[in-house]
Amino acid sequence: MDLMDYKCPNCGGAVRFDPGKQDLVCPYCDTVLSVESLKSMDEQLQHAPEEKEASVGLDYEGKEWQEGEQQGMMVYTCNSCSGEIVGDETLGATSCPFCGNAVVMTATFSGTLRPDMVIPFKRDKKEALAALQRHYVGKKLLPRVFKDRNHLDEVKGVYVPFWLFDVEAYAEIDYRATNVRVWSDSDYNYTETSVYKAFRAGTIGYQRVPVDGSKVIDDTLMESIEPFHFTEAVDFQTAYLAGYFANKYDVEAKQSVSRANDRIKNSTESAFAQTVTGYDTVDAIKTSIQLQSGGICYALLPVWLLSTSWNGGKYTFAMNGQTGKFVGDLPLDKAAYKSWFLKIFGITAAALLLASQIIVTFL
Amino acid sequence: MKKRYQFLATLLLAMWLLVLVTPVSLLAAPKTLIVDEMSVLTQSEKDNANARAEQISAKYNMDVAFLLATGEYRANQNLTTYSKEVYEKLNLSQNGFMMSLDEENAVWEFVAFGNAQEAIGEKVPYEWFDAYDNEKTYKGGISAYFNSVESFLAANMGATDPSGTTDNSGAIDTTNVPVPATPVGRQLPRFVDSVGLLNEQQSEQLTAKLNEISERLQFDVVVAVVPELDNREARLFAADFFEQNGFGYGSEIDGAILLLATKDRDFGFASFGYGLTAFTSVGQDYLDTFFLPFLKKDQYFEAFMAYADAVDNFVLQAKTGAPYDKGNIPKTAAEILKMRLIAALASLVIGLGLAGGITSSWKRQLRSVHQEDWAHEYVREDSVVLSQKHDTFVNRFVDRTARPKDNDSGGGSTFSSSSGRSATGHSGKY
Repeated sequence: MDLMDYKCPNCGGAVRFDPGKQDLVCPYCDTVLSVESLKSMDEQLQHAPEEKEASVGLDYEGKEWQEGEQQGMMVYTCNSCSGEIVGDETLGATSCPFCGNAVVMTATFSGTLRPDMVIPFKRDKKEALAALQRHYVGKKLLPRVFKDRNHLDEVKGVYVPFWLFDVEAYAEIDYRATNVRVWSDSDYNYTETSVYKAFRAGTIGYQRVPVDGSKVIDDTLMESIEPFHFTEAVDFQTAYLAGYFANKYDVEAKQSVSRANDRIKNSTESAFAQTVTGYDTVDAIKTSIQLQSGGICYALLPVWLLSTSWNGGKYTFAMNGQTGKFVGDLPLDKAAYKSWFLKIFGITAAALLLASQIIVTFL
Repeated sequence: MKKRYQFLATLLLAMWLLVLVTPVSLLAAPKTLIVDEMSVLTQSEKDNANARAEQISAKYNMDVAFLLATGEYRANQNLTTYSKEVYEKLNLSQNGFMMSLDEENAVWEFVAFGNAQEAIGEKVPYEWFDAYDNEKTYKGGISAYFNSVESFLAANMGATDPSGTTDNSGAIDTTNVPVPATPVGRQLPRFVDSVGLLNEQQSEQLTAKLNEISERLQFDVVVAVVPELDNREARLFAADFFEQNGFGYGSEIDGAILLLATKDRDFGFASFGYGLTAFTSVGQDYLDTFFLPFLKKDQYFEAFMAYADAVDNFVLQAKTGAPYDKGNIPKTAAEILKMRLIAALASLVIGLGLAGGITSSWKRQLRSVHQEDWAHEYVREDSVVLSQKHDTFVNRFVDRTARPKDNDSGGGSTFSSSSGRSATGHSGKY
């Protein structure tokens, strides 16, 4: 399999994409390389003669893979240390588990599988860790031991495959709107309700509505770190993947489109309802929304994924690698929950009881 | 022996001195103006009637007597001569008159003496007898007789001032005159029981209490029991009763009356003069809480005693400048207990709500992963185009609900008695 690692032209060390500089940086000699300059290096590396590896003459006759065991599995050889990197067929970029060299599986993103765009990381690992610490702050019912960083299992920057849908929505919606007037005389209260029928028809265009294209990553987690700003998206270059993990999509666009359509319909209804003004109440009674595809893009979007384990449970956090928005459900300290409930209840009830009895006494 | 004589002499001297310092009024035996040979009146009723007769007698300077005779006199005389004989035996004034009735033989007689004879003339006062005869009870009849007499005398003779001088105007000028212990013109005792709800001892005890409170406060506190109302509502009936029987202190006739009509279990409260200040609308609701529970249990004596104490309390409270009114009504022990329980329950509920609300909000802080149902962020700029927009009026309807009536004003309110005098009061059932 084709495997590409980006090496420093000065010292030969593996370079990585630096979110702060938005360039590739050698961590050993601090050489900075622009992404553009590496485009040409990509081509040179593609045509460079293969280095013959020295054979130590020791042959290990291992067991053969059983039938079906290798299905979906891919084995890569690290260009730096010759270590074998095992991954699935969606793996597009990773680090060598033996030497830490950042490697990109170019074949994963070649041909029709090449992403249309990528939003490069703008937030680095330190920011992700800092965001995790901030995520704990002010949460009274979070178990104290959970805040201990020793429980952090993994932090990795991942380019998550997304399908981006451009859609034109044509809507025809009937609304029932009312205006209410109230007044009174000495004997009765009156409520006058004026009922109106409002009809709205028109179009709304949506651009690049993202839907997660990876099975292994939770869709809800990805929707929680939205939005992504596609004005900062650039044409895909494998160099952007250096130092990060990446996967190609394993959910087809036609499977993802229904999720985008649901969101678009909701927003269309809401947007049209806002044009029905001058009424006290507005309710949609008949809605017809037709969607027309304006194109689909395949993009890799930057996400920091952090995994922790605590008390036998796994907790995954995600940070938008572009905006820094951080999400992740936290465990509940049930003892603290009960304790706080009883404390607040006891103090409040006692204070109110005392105050109310004093007030009653002096009434 | 000498010592014994000294002791007796000292005792006599002490008794003599006691007699000297005792007011003449206490030594004078009360006149007997009501003679009940038939024994149809209780002692209390007889005393009440006698007191009323004394009032009229003093007011018009002539003795007004009443005789309920058995038929025994008929053995040797007629009712006329017997009436004169009784009048003389009573040692009454030379000026006066007496109505005599012989129920057994269905005859009645009227005898008059001195200036009373001159004032009444030769006219036989049939209306006095009619007033008596129209009532169903002896007590009521006697009371009606005196009412009729009082009306006649007021119209034809002036009231006599304490010095004995007749005031021909018939009105009493109270200007610059100290307010007397007994209201001017009061014709009845302060407890009038036409039905006989209370026994004699209870009547005396209640009357004594009403007298003590009335004289101390200079505010006439009256209780009256009648068989039934006429076409007037209870409070107007009570007000007219109070006014027409001469109750009340001063020109504003300060005082209050609780009147019961037993037939339909009606009660009416009315108050004049300072009572308009002391008994606010809300205050009258509070007043009811003192006596109404007893009335509902037919505990009349307890009810009237409680009413008397309550009026005492109300008038004293009003004199502090803060009469019982909205926001100034003391709570009963049961109300305070109820308020304490409600406050305790509310404290628990609020405590639970607050604890639940705060801890739930803290719990929600732990959840930040949620499905995104909108695509607002991805609407293309200037892409919203409304091609059609129609708003059409469909219909209009009006719902009407009755407004809850404001009950804050309470049961009491200001009204006018039949004479046009302002009073406050309320009516009800017990």
